[in-house]
Amino acid sequence: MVLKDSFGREIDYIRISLTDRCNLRCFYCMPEEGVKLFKREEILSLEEIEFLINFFYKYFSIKKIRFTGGEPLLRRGFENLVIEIKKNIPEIDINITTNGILIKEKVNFLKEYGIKVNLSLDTLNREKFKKITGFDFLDEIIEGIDLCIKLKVPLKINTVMLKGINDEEIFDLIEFSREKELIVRFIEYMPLSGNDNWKKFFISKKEIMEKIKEKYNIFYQEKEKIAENYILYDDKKFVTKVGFISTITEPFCDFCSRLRITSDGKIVLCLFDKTGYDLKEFLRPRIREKKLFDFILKTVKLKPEGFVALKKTFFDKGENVESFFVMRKIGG
Amino acid sequence: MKVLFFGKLKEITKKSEMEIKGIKDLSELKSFLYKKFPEIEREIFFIAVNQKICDGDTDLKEEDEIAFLPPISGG
Repeated sequence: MVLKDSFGREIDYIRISLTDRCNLRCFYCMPEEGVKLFKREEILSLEEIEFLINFFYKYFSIKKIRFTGGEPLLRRGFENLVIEIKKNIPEIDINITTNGILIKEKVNFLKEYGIKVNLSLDTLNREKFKKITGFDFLDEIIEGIDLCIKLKVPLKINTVMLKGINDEEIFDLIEFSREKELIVRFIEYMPLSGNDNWKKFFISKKEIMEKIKEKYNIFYQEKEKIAENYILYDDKKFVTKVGFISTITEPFCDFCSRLRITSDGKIVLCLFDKTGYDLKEFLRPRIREKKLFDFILKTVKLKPEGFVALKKTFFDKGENVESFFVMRKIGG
Repeated sequence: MKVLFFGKLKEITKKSEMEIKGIKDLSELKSFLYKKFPEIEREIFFIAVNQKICDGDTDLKEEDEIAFLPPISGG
């Protein structure tokens, strides 16, 4: 059966956070000063994750999953999880969003199991990378990117645009995109938990486009679920393709088909809805499949309209909106 | 309406842009340009109307801007 919310949106995509741990400390997600991490027993076990994926496939025909985090490649047993899932559901579409640090160790596996990669990279500048993330891993990441390209692992770059930090790198990122023949998607910065500097860092798609137009001709090509893709030309030829994920200025809530599960097993219906709906209750001490099924149907009906409905309040009031969600527990 | 040429097409037509009147749709525009610049017909290109890539035929208005773009490669 089709899993639908109260707005008629069909859920066909599950995003599961495998861990709240990360090997970076990006200031807007996982600040240095400390985060309260889940205890081991609070996190869903690999068996539980496998069960849930099979469950959503069996009852709701959901075949697309994305592993997020924290940093999903940090989760021990990641490979075994993928192997088991693929055994049960050969046609499953597995995606991962990663910071790319561990890609070079896992790239052969990613290739073998047809995993598609979104790589979060906000800067190409080593010093700035250290400033944003707290670590000096840019070289490893570029190595990982090159290996993906070499082995033809599908790869997209996700760049959160931060005014005064990486907005001056727009042309470097475009050049990187052109050189590597990879699409870079510019993502509008979202207001995150424990963080009231949204206004300071936010730069809109429009502002980025204006900047791009200083040097290139930009043409709208296509919409790809949440991203809008444009192609860039200079005077002589095609330069590259870029995407925009404009969560704030052009919310795409009407097309939202995703369900998120946090690493501690809670359903999160929307990034702008703090409520977590606990699934562990139906998995421990033993699995109660019928109750779980009913719970999921009921919970999905609670999915809110989304940011598109909040936007008016958010912008009009201009106040410091209270934190909506905690990124490192969901993975965006 | 304004027609823009990029890359190889710019080399063939020896123009980066030209003004045209009285063309109703893309098919008519292509016919017009093929007659004027026969070499274009051999080329592969994309067409963008008002900065949006088009496929198939499209009606055109006097205030439209039509760009003829060389092929996309890679990416």
